[in-house]
Amino acid sequence: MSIKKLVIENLLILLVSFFFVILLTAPKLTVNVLASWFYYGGAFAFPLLFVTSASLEFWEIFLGEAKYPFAMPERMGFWEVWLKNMKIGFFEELIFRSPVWIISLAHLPVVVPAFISSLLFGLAHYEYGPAKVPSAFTSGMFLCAIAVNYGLMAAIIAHAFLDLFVTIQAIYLK
Amino acid sequence: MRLPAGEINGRRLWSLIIVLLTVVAGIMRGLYTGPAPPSKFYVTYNTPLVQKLLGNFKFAYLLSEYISNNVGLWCVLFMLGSIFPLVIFDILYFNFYAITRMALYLGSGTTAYVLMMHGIYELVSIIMCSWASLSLFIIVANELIAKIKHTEYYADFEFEAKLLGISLFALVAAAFIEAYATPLLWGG
Repeated sequence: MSIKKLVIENLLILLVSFFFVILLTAPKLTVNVLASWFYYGGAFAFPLLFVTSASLEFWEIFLGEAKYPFAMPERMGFWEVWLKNMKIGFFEELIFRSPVWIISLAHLPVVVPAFISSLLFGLAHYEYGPAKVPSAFTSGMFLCAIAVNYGLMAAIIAHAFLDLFVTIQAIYLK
Repeated sequence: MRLPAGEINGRRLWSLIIVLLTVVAGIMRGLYTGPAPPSKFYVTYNTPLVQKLLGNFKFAYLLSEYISNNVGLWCVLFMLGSIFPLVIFDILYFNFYAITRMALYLGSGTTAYVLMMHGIYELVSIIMCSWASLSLFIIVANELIAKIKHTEYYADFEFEAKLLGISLFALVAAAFIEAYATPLLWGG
């Protein structure tokens, strides 16, 4: 892989996306601001992981087991795992949570938009099996609450952490 | 303590040495600066809403506060520290600096029976998590160098993943001790 292709594929999309969110959230970006995103994201990551796992186990009793719709690679570098999950967290939050977050910034009621976006978020996970739909809906509502109260970046970090944990578990801690 | 099985290679050894040196530097600076009361480092919760919460749901409030704090710190160390290791040194150095100053102020009795009840799990977990994150940073650097050189580099990070898992659950356990056992020891 050439350096040019590497930069375009791995870094440019992420940097542009982060620049967009930084413009919206923190005009004065410092190390403390960066650490606070990870701090608030991390503070909710463990409850999010617990809620997601428990709700998936619950719905699997009634709707059958959920499965990955794609093959997990045998080996992956840590940088690849980190970057891929950050990208997934970022784009999914941007699509599903940013409308709710923007509505909350305008001081409008967020319950109905959060419900609709979480429902769409749940349906987007249908590939994993029917049990994943209500489970992802619950996670979506949780992430909406994080985004509304602590900012979109905290929701992105919490989501990325959840995916990172699941990926590392699937590849390295079988 | 029984560490997870795994070979201690150069990467892991150097990460551990750097982490321990940072801890020692923090403690040395704390000893040199002298004692300080905990109020110098704590955030004081004195708003009416927080006082009401503390009065009504003290255990639940403290537990959620400590779990959030511990896991938040763990996430900063792991997810940000493995890419941007400056935060590891910052957190380790100033945490141990502050703890040393507080321990000097409170005296050996209070430190041993109250602070170290949860502190032994919390501090060891923070060191374990920092060790794993610094080792992961070296993996990330090697991966990027290998990509630029058009070669393949896949390092096994099962050991680091296990260390991170142990430290996460120990931090949650420390939060339970801090919220439940420590107030009993304080007599509150």
